[in-house]
Amino acid sequence: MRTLVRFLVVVLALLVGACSGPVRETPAPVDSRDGAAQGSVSTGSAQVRAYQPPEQVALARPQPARAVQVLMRRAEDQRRAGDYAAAAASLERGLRIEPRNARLWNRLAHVRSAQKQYGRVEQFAAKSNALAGADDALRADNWHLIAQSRTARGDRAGAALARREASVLR
Amino acid sequence: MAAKRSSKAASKKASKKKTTRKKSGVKKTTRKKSAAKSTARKKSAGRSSRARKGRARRSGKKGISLWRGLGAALVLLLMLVGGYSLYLGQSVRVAFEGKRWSIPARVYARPLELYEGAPITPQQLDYELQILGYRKVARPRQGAQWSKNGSRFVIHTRDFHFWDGAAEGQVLRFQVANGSVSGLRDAETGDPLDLVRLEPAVIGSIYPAHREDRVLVKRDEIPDHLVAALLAIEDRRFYEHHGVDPRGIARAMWTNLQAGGMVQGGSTLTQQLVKNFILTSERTLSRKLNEALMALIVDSRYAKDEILEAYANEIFLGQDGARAIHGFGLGAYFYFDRPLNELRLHETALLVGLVKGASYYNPRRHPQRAKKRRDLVIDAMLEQGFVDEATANSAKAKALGVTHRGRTGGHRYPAFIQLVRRQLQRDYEEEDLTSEGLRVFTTLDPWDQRHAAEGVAAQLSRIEKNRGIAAGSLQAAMVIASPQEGEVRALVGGRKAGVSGFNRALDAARPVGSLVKPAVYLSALAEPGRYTLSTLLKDEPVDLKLPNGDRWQPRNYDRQALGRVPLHQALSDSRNLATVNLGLEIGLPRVIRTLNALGIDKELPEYPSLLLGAVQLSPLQVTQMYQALAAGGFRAPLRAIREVLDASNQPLQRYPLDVMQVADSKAVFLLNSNLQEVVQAGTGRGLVSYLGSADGMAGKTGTTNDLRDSWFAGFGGDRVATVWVGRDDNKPTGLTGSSGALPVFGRVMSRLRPAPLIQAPPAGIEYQWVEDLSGLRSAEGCDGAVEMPFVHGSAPVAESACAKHQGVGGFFRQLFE
Repeated sequence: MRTLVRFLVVVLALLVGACSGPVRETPAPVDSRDGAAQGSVSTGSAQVRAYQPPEQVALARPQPARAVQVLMRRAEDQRRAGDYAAAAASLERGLRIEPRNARLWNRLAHVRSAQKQYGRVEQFAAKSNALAGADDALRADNWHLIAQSRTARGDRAGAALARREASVLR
Repeated sequence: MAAKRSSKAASKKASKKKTTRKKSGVKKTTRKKSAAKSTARKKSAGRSSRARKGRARRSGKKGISLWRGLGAALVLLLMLVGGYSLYLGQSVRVAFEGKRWSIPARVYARPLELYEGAPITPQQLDYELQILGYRKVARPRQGAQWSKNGSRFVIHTRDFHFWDGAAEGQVLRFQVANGSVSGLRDAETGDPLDLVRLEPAVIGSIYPAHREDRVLVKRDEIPDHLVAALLAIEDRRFYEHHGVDPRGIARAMWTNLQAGGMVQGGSTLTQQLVKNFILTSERTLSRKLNEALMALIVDSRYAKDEILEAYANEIFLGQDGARAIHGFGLGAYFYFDRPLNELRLHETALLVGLVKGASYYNPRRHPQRAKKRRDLVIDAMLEQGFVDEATANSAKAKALGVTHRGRTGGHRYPAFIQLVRRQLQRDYEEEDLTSEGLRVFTTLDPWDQRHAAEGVAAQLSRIEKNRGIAAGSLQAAMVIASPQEGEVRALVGGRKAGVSGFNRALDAARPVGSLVKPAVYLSALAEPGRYTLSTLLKDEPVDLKLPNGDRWQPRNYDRQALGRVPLHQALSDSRNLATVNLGLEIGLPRVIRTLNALGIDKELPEYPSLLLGAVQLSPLQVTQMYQALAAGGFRAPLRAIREVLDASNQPLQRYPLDVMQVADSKAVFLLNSNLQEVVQAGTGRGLVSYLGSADGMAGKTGTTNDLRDSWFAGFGGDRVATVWVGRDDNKPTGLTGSSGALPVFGRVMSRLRPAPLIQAPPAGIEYQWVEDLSGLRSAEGCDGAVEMPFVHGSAPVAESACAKHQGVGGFFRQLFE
């Protein structure tokens, strides 16, 4: 556990130094219960919170990841077996535990894609993107799904745009 | 021979009858008669032979026709009875086999999920187990029992059929420390458990018009000691008699005589069943005879166990307002809040005692009578040898044990059940909903609901007291939902949440006042080329001429016009003038499109007053709007139902998660940052005193003209909620959003410990320092400088004096950015 944290801190430090703009979250978002992650800057009259990277968030409480991982694996098995309703239900159950888990939203998009429900595919992929943070591989996958969805619905220009976004990320 | 001939001549008809009858007796009689006739003739030689013959003929006819009449009558009677039995038998068959009890739809809350790290407190766990009817014991040995030892919990769950399959009961153990679950393991094997759900609590039912309610039990689900109790007190020879029990009647009469009153009934269970099932409750002799006859028929047609099962499901056990409680299955829940198979001897004995008169022996109204009756049942069981003396004494020593309120009456959550019903009615007919025994799994969170209901009631009373408002004059509504998925966690329709009535959360459409402003500002922020959080707005007087000729001159709450005000401050302090000027610049059609996108799909008037919230919405509709904001611009339609199963646990329908991106995520991010400022420094800063910190919650206050409606809508990391406070007669309350709805929101949230709002800035957002009052680009360390988020490239370019000074420092910083 400690090694993992140290590793994450090192990664964070590198990211902070190396990139411009806002600091990205670590790929496994965890809700911080003790409020330690967020700081606030109040200067004079107007107080808009200055954004601070969620340091040490991983330590805030034990990761609930295991329950979510189990559900994700179960959903994968169900999807492969063609039981799409069950797969979606497993993923939704995971989302109730970790609503901001970009991977779960992405898996939902895949299930809906297998069901050819392309309207939903695009929305879930977009939602996953909004939460994906630094996970470029995931975002590329989402853009692929979006491209596929747009192609299926006859939006070729939109699909081309999406494919371009995907290639930029790789 | 001569005798025979003369008798033949005299009674031809009789001879026919004779042959159908038993030969020997009649013939003998005939011979005797004819012998008597000839004797009479011989004897009375002096009388006229005709007269003699005539006399002899007449007396012969009379004797024979009497028998004829009797015979005819008997046959007729038998035919009548036979026909009537057939008719009754038909009624019985129709009643028994045609009968399908209407079972109302059962509504369940969400199941509590347990996993390593799950957020929970011991208080919440206690409550959840209590509403499930689990018993707290020293050591759990069977289903529905649990124990607590310091921070260690052991729970033995019941079997339960979920939407996705049956789950067997198991024994869990875990610790609750620092508000979360740890060390979750199977108590029997010691294996760690990844994810467990407790069964969902039944929160209500959807009833048909006649409001009968049942929980059906099969014969093998009826506990042995209940059958024993029933036989002991009501019908000892149930398995031996044929429907009616004369010995039972006799014994009952004797017992009643001895006791000096009606202690025992002589009716068999079969007769009671017939009475309840088929006949009306008149107490006439003919009804009694009918009942006896039908009981005989029923007994000959159906097996004892079938009769017992029907009886156990039909017997009337109490009245819950308009709801009639039928059957032991529901009786167990109604009086003891648990399933029939979990009842103990003294509880079962009470139920059986109620058979005689559910109202008369009502344990809640007449506890002493109920106890006497229950003890009588136990004594009868002892007398018959069903229990030993020690068991009987121990059972009699126990208190009645009935719970305070009848369970699953739908009383506790009428507002939420109403929402469930409305959503179901889109897909199901009323008939199916109320009689097919559907199982509806919902999104209700009982813990959230409890605190929402209590918080609303308590805080309203407190406000009334503090402000000298007449007690009971204020009303309120509250909705709590999950931000990312749009599941409704709690719904409070009025200050008396447990009572069915006007559902203000769904149906009270009130002007929303300043709650509409985020839609105006979102429209602005979606055009980063024109508006940013630092853009200076005109908080200047507005004087509009409306199409109907009226003049509209809105004012700020403080009656001031501040001139130039940064956009973020205008929203944070809810400046009316700045908002109206902004809205008019953007144009009403755009604002209306934004509102529609956020989920307000009603017709919106294109009047400037819309910008200040002259639009009537229900608390549920407002929650939908703020859900879209809380979810980063992804609207999820608010749902109350997850799945529906039919009575035999076949999946009928699932309501899946759906989202739709309705606003640009960068614009929503900026707006939400602004809404956090509302709570930190703006009109919502009163929330800090309830939550302990201003971090992690975004929100907006709303107040309408003349202070008639007080609103607060807000969201954190795992909840979005709306509160409305006002009066039903629409008179002013003297409350603003900050002084009315906000305290209710704060109080409820302080009990629920919501997760803080964590917004990850989407791609394309950067942070810049800005000199707030001028809107010029600034730098860290400068006076009056604040760091704010901007859409990339929209931050002010023109530098303030201080920023220019800091040029060198700024240059170096840029190297690292």
